[in-house]
Amino acid sequence: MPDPGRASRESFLVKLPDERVEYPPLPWKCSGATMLNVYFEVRKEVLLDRLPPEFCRTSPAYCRLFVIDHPESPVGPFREATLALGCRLNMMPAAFVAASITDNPKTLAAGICERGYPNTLGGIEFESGPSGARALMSDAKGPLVEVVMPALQTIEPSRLAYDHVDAIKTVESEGAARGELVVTARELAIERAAICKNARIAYPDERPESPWQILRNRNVISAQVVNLTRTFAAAGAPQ
Amino acid sequence: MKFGIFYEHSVAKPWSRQSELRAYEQALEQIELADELGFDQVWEVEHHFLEEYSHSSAPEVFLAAAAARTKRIHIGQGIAVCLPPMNHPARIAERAAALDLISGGRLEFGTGRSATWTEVGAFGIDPDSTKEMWDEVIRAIPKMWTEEEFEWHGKYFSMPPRNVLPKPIQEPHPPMWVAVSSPETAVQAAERGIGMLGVTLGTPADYKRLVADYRRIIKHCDPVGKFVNNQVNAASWLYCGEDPYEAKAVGGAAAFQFFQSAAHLLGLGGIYPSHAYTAQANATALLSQAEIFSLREGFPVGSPKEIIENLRYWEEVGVERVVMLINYDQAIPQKKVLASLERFAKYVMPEFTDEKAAERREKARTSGDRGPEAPPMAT
Repeated sequence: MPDPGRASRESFLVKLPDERVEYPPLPWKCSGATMLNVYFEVRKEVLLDRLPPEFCRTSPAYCRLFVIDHPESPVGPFREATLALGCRLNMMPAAFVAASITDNPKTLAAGICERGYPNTLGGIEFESGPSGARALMSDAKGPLVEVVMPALQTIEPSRLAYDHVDAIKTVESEGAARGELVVTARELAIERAAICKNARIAYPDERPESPWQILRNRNVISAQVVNLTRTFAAAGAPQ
Repeated sequence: MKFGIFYEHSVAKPWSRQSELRAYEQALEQIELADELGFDQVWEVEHHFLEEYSHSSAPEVFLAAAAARTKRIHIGQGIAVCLPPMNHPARIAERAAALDLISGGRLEFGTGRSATWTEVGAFGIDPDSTKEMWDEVIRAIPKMWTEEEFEWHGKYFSMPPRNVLPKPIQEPHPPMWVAVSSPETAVQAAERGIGMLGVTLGTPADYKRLVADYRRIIKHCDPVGKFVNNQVNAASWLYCGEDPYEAKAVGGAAAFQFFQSAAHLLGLGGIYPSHAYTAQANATALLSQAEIFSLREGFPVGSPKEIIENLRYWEEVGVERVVMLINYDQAIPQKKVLASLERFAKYVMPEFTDEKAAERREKARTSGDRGPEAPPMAT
């Protein structure tokens, strides 16, 4: 320890859009949003294979999966689901994006060009009420992962703190693509929160090639449903 | 002010079949020397599954070996994890009493409840309940030690009437402590009349408020044991070098490795929103790299003269004892560790006898010199 990651930045490059998709300038203030957030343990070798060498794993290795439903935003309603690897950057806690999807093309364009995530178009079913919540993520090939949170218990929002999220953003210069490490932080203003002590993560279809399933849950740590205002902002350089 | 040492039994990778054995053997040799030199307490943690950081899951076993090799030094179980799903309270009481017997009444009994997901999650324990579990267990154990027919029907464990054996040799029972890393726990220690076993490798400024609160509240405590143990231990890192440069190069590097290892543990506060762990919102990064390399005030890493100056801050804060880590696995060669202990005992310890401290207090009183100010609180 520390065990550094083994993934190259190139492995996170995405194809930039051939034609520019117009979107309103960032930041977007998205009020009335709801987030499902779950932490779970994963195999350390699998995590290290998907973590750039700037980062080190924790003990035990874990992931953070968060799904945010934005009913209001400058691009209209959109949803985003992100799978991030729990890690350390310069000994401090961080979360590195392994996969991220959205259901909105404009959010996708903004994500790819300005934040590094979300970077894939997909489908997200999302339900949330006083007694429970559920989300199902899919891509063009079918369902990837489902999160179910029954029996919510209200908690003080001040108990929650989320680490900054780091990602590789694809940038082009002189005709060549390269990966740039970027960070988003302090995006979430939490208004109400609840925890779920018996959250479940399910994999409806076998998709062994997908990071959503390669980074498979081995033990749920904790889960929360959070009402918040999100500021969807451009990423910056890590401090 | 007195001095102790403590052990995490760190074992860095790469591991061989001999790695853990070597760590245990070297620690026992160090403890034998510390006993001869006049260190008055040795503590060992209880941790589970914390690879590299701590291979110390059976402290009673190791401490029994330490007790058998020493004469004077007090044997600190620091701590017994007081969570019934991990350790049944009767088993904790039995093992501690046996250790008190083996050591001839030298046991210091530390209590605590774990702070990492690795440990709490492995035993299926709800993090929200650990503080309550600890509180129930520490009230039961003194009764097990002192009553011939112990019976308990609590929220977290129950047992029919039994005589928990053996009984400790110390009358009425060994001193009780709790591991303290937050202001809340310092207050809870005081309210229960048990010793404050600082486990955060912080500065005197970090401890100042905790110690003040502890001293104020313990005057009106409702003790869980048969007596009040009004003592505060601070935790720090020791390397007493030949000169300032050697000390910082050798001791500073070892301290950095320890902190680096600690920073990669998965603390509960950051990933499990719980009222029981709010104070440790990230139990992960204990110090920044810059802070470690600059060796903050109060860190007894340096030449004997520098260490004396640093320890005066602790004296000013009013702790009874500073208990120190002395190596991270074999980052410092054994010969150097032993030499560091010897230099400390020869040049530093004599400056902190009761007589010397009284002289300093008297001098300060007559000259109006208030002694060294503790450095400002870290932000």
